[in-house]
Amino acid sequence: MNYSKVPMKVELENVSFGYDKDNIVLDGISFTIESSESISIVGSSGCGKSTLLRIICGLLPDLPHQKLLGQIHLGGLNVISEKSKWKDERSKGILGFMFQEHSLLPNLTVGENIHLPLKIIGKSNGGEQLVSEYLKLTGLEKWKNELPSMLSGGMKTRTALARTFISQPKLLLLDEPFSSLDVVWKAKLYEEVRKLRNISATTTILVTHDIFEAIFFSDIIVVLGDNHKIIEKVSIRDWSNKYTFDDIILKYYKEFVYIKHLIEYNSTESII
Amino acid sequence: MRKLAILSLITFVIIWEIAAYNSSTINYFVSSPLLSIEYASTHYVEILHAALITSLETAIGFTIAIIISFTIMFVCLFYPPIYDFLLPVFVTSQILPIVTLAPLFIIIFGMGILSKIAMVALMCFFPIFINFSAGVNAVTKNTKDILYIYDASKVFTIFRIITPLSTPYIFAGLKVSTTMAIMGAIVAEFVGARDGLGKNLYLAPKNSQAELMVCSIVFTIFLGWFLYKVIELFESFFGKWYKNNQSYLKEPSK
Repeated sequence: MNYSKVPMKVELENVSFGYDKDNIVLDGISFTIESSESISIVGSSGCGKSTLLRIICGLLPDLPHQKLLGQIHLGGLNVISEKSKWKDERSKGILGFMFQEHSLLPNLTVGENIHLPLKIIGKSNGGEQLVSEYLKLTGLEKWKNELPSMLSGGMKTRTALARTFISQPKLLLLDEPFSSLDVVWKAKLYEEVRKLRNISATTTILVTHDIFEAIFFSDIIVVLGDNHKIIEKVSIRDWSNKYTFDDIILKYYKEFVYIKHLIEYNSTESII
Repeated sequence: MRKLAILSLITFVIIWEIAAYNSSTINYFVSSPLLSIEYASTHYVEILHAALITSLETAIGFTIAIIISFTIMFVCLFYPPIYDFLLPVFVTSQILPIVTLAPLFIIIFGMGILSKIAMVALMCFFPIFINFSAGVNAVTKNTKDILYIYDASKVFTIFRIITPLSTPYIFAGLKVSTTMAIMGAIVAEFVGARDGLGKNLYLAPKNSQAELMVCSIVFTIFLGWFLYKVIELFESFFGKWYKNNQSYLKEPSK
C-alpha cells in the first residue's frame, strides 16, 4: 500500500476467437470498461467466459492454430500488437488474476505464496510488512507458516485472494474464484474483495455463472449467450430503476429475496 | 516394525550359523557368521581399504552424475529444443546395458578409480535426468499461468519455481540411482581393479576365501544403505512439503 497506481481502462473491439477453425468460442465481443469500474461476465458454461478473460490478459492464444481477431486496449495499450510493452507492464505487477482453481504452489507456505508476486516483480523490499497486512486483512495470520495442503478450501481461496491483491493490480481479473465455496464463505469473501477493492479502486472483470455474485459485485453485467455473442449488457443502477423486481424475478430464477438484498447492498455501497 | 526387522535378521544369522556348523559344503561356499567376524577382525585394514575405495568411486561418480544431469536439464529448460535433440541420444545409450561398457572404460580410463567413477556416473545419469524431466512436466498449467501474469524471468521460473516443484521426482531419481551407483562401481571393479569390494567379490570365491566374500557383501550392502540414507536425509530437508502422514505407504495411526 506504499505505491498507488491508476486503474486501467479496458476496451474490447470486435474480439473473436477460435481454438481452431470450426470451433468459434467468441464472436464479435465489444465493450468498454472505465477505470475503477467493475464488470461481470455471466453466461452458461462453455459460452467462452473464461476464454475471454484469458484473451484479455494474453494467456490465449497460446498455440499457433488458434485465431484471434479484433483489438484489445488495456490502459490505452494495444496488448495484441504491442506484446513486448505489455510484457513490461505485466512485469510491474499491474495485473491480478484469480483462477478458478486456487492454484497455490504446494511447496510454499501461505505467507510465501502471498509474497510470491512481489518476489517475481522484484518489489520484495518491505514485502514482509505488506504480506502481514494482507494476512491480517484475510484473517490468515495464524496460518502464515502452514502449507496449502493444511488449509480448508475457503482458506486456500483467501490466500489466493491476498496473493492476487498484493501487487496492487491496476486490472483485476477474477475467473469464477468462489465457485467451489458454500454460501457462507462466499458472503465473507465478497466482503473481503470489496474491502480490497475499496483500498485500490481496481478495474475489475469478474467471470461467473452465478447471477447473484454478478449483481453484488459489479456496475455492469455482460451476458454472453450460447451463440458466443453478447446478448445483453446492463448497468446495475439503470437496471434497478428500469425494471421492477417482478421483471427481474421473472428473468432470473425467482430467488427474489436474495436478489433484492444484493441489489440493495450494491446500490448503497455498504458492506454486509 | 523395526523390532520385527531386527528379529528376522537375527533369525537369519542364527540359521546360517547352525547350517554352516553342520554342513561342510555350506561352510565351504558361504562360510559362517562367526568365521566371517573372526576374519574381519584380523583383516580389517584390507577390507576397510577396499570399502573405502569403492565408497569413493561411488560417491564421486554419483556426485558427477548429479552435477551433469542437473546442468543439462537447466540448459534444456533455458533452450527447450535441446531437450528434444538430446533425449533420443540418452534413451539410445540406455538401451545398451551400460555394464557391458565396463571393459571399454577400463581400456580408456585405466585400472584405477577413474574408470569406475565414469561407470558410476554413466549409470546414474539417466535415472536422475529422466525423473527430473518428469518433474518438470508435472508442473501445472496454473503455475505457468501465474508466472505469465507477473512475467517471471526464466531464471526465477527455473530455479525458484520449477526445480523446487520437481523435488519429489528428483529424489525418486536419486534413490533409484543409489542402487545403480553401487552396481556400476562393483561391476567395473569385476572387470579390472587394483582394489575394491568388487574385486574381492570377484576373486574371493575363486580363491576359496568365503569369509572375504561375506565381508565384502556386508560392506557393499552397508554402502548402498548408507548412500540411500544420505539421500533420505536430504529429502527430509528439501521435501518437507510433500512428506505427509496420509500416504498409502504409511501405517495409519490409531
